[in-house]
Amino acid sequence: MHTLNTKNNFWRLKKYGLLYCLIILPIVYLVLFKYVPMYGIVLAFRQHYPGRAIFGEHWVGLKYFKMFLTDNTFWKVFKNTLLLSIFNLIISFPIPIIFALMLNEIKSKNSKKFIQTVSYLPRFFSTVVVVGIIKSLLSPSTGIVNEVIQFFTGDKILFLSEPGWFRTIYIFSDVWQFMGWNAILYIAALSGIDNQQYEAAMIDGANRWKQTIHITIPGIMPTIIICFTLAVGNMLMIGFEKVLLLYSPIIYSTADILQTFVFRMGIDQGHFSYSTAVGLFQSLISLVLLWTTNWFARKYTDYSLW
Amino acid sequence: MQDSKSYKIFKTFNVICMACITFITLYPFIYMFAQSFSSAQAVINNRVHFLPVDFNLSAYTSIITESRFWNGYRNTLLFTTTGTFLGLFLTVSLAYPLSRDDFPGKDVILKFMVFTMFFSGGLIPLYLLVSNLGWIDTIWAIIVPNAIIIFNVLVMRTFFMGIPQALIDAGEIDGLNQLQILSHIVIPLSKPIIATIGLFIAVQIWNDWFSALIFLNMDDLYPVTLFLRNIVMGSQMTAASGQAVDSSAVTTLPQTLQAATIMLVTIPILAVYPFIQKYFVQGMMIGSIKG
Amino acid sequence: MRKRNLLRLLTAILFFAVITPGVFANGQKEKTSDSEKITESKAISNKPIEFTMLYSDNASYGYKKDWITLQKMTELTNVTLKIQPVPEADYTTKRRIVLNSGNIPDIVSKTLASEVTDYAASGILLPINKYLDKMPNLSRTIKEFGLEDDLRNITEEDGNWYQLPVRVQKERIQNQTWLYRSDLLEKHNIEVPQTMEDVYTAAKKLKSIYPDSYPITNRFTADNVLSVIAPSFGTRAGWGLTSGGYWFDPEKKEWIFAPTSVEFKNLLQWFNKMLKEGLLDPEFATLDSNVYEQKIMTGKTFFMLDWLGNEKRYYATARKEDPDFTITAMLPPKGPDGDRGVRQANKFAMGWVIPARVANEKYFDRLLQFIDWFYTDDAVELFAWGVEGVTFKTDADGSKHYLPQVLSGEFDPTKETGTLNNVFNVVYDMDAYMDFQSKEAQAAFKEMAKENVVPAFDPKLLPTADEREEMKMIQSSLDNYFKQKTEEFIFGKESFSNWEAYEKECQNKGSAKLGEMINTIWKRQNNK
Repeated sequence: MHTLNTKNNFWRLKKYGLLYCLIILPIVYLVLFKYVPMYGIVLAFRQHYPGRAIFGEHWVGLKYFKMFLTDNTFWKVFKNTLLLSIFNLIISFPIPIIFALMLNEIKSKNSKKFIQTVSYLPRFFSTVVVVGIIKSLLSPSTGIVNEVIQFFTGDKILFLSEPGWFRTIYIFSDVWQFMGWNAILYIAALSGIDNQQYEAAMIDGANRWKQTIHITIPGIMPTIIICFTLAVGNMLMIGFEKVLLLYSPIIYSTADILQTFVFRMGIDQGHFSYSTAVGLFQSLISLVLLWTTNWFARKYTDYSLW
Repeated sequence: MQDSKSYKIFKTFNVICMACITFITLYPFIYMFAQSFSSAQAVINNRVHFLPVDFNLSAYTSIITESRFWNGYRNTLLFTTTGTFLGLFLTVSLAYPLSRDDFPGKDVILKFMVFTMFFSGGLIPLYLLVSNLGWIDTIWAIIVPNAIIIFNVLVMRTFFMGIPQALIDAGEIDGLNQLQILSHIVIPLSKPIIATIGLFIAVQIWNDWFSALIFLNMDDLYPVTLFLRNIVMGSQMTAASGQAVDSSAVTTLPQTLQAATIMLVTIPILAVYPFIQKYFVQGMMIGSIKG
Repeated sequence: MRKRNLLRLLTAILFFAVITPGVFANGQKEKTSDSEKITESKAISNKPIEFTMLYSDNASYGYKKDWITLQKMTELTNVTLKIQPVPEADYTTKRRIVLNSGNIPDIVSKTLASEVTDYAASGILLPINKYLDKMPNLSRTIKEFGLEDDLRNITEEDGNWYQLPVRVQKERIQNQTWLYRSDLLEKHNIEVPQTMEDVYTAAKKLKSIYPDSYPITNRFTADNVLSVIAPSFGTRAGWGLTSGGYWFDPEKKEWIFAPTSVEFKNLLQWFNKMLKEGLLDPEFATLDSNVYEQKIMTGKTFFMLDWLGNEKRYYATARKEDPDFTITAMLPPKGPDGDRGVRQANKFAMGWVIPARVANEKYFDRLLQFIDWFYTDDAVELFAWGVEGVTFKTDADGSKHYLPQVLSGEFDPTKETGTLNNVFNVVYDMDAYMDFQSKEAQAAFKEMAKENVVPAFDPKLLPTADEREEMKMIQSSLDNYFKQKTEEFIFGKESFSNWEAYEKECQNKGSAKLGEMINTIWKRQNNK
């Protein structure tokens, strides 16, 4: 048995020899540009003085981790980060899928193309521009949103100075900006579904709704699961620049997130050790999240990252 | 073919939805387009809504007479085209072997790869690496360090895995080697995903100002996005980051000029999408090959 | 297996290639051989020589290689500046990368004092004071302009200073100041406010005439407006507080925790009143520049805490709708205790730093000479006035004046010629500055100088690296707290009756501990 297995392995190695030649270049790339610079992580465990030795003076162990793990402000900020990420995931993740499915029901090829192209326009606005648009829409003096609200209620809302509104504003602007863009993948996946399946279903008398449930959604399921797993892994990586441009001290209670907190901390000092430690902490959580999601995906569906 | 009543209702609802989405995503663009052709006073007094007011081209002429703008454009085009090809090549060469179920070492390489999505050593080590390679102030510093985006690899791999094993087996029986299978069978079947990932890479490079900021010192190589960012950003960022703003930072460029720059930088990359859409024809390949 | 070993080897090689020393010294290559002697002529070098400079590039006057002032500079000195322009919005990031990686050009422009401290200890920067004997013009400027006190403010623990004073001015002036719509005040017979109460009454009156306006507004976050107004209330706030809420009161000669002081409370109450009655724009903490300027130009706001000179830009658009539109500078109104003040200012607004490595370069002396040149009369004329006939003219009495098209704003000298550029204009010429201002502004400035309304920055504290780290930790949680509360008090979300609870919470966040540390450090450095 053992020998057979080795033989089999050997045979596979030989079979894929050419593919090894192919994959060696990207692997060298990963080593060189992703793994080599990782030595920078040692900073999280070393005392660093700005401007002096780039990788710190001496080992301090978990000093920086203790520093933030025992800091009340840190946990408040961490809670904000987590809440914003979770809400964002729940809302922003399914919408592009629904959009792609709805778009798929548009019969006219030209309108389909047109809607698709237009829907991904906002992706190309830089964060400053998007924040500028948000601010002018929500402005109590000139914004259309407040004019509508005033018409109905007679009052105005200071959206940007109300802690309760921050998450809504952040998430909806994200949906607006990235819905069309994120839908592209699903649209591409939809085009991979075999037309014959639909034809067969129609002969069987399945209506459009049933076709969607039984053919379309299973057809894009692998893409959905991969994207979901990655979205969970990346959920803590919140668009930092947008928060920075949107928030002000009065809404810190909901808007202050890990990245802005660390950024403020290091702004007039290159507080590298502390921020590296926080970053490492965040990375670990992300990795655990990804791993868990992938584990569930593998257990309960046919698709997973590995 | 008769549509059911509920499907008809859905269709109407769908059309309304799509119309709304089109409007809210298109309107800011139209607004900025109109602004860019209007006079500064018209913009300041909120008179511009859908169409240009006091039509004039002064914002555009003041940009297109800047040599730095055109220089930046040329650089951006160069970075985007070369970077997209490089990125696609590396992404396919990583994704395809990993999509083969019996590829030895697949799991290890996958984990090795996913790990890099979360852990990085920060900017300074990367900067020192690029600087030691002698790539500061070269195109390589822009296109190589971000050539592989792991997300793209995973998505492409998922697509490759959807290609029926039977087709690959058939290729092997026909005596094709593994690279020939990739080039003769897999790639032709994967045009939608290659187009999509190509677009992702192209857009990412097109919008990337940060690598240029870090790795380039001389402005001859600056991409146009850095130019755009400076015009639109002004000093908002300084203030937002909590630093005191000084007198040099408080002059803001006219909004018409900001809008015109945004138009000039955005429209070319937008125009790429319709070309890619032709690969999104429903059921294009798998069905046709089977038949 | 073999492949894995190969990989490991490759990794190891790359790793060592990266971290070997020498990496940090790969600055510029030598540019010219140094065979010729420096001659007596004003030119720095007989042969053309090139120095590199990191440059903060402002989009409003984007860098141009062929600016006439730079050409003239090369003509006079035989030096070409090889400029590395960096977009202003991201200059801090780039500067930090450059300083941290050790890949530093000959001159790094526009540096901040707080940041230089970080790098001074590392020895990568050149201690300027040690080379003063080679820079006679700089030495003369220091004496003539009385910069000694301000230089002490940038002197590090080792007794050296590492920053060249740039944008040097003889008098302590602050060009971010109170501006107002003089045409409207005149039209409605409203007197120019003298006190904060007057501001309130004037704003109230204007609001009743223009109900959809907000007489005062602001951009760049609450920190901006607070930092300008606080000195009138006898305290500091916003950007004026850089040490976790502590500031140095030069009269009492002690460090005071501002956020819980009576003066600070008065300040917040004034803001709160203004906001409640619709006199202060409720968006004052979040406006971006575009909307802010729109509000000014369309007459939706009447008092500004803006930079003098900006009004010329506003005129260009606003006067097309309203030909009378006029903005004038005024004396900062008095606070409850009769203080007048604006944001603090140094006698030099920013700095240049030079990497220590140049001391070993053959061109070192010439670089110092070149830098010193910026403090000569030639350089001041070139970068403050520009080129005769292009931007200014000399009258029969020898006095210089800008050409009419420059004064009217038709011809932007900074954009077109590179003069009056924040980076190159090392020495501020007061005459040039005043020539630009309206008569009212000139009068206001004279008055401000007489009343001494521009406070100096807090003296520099010299904590050790470890103390600094600890202070930073306390500061950041204190800052978080009191900045949030500051805005809540202003917006009325927190009632002033809870002031005591707020004081207590500041204590809990470490205000007393920080104060202790500051006092210890302050005593220690004064006993030295």
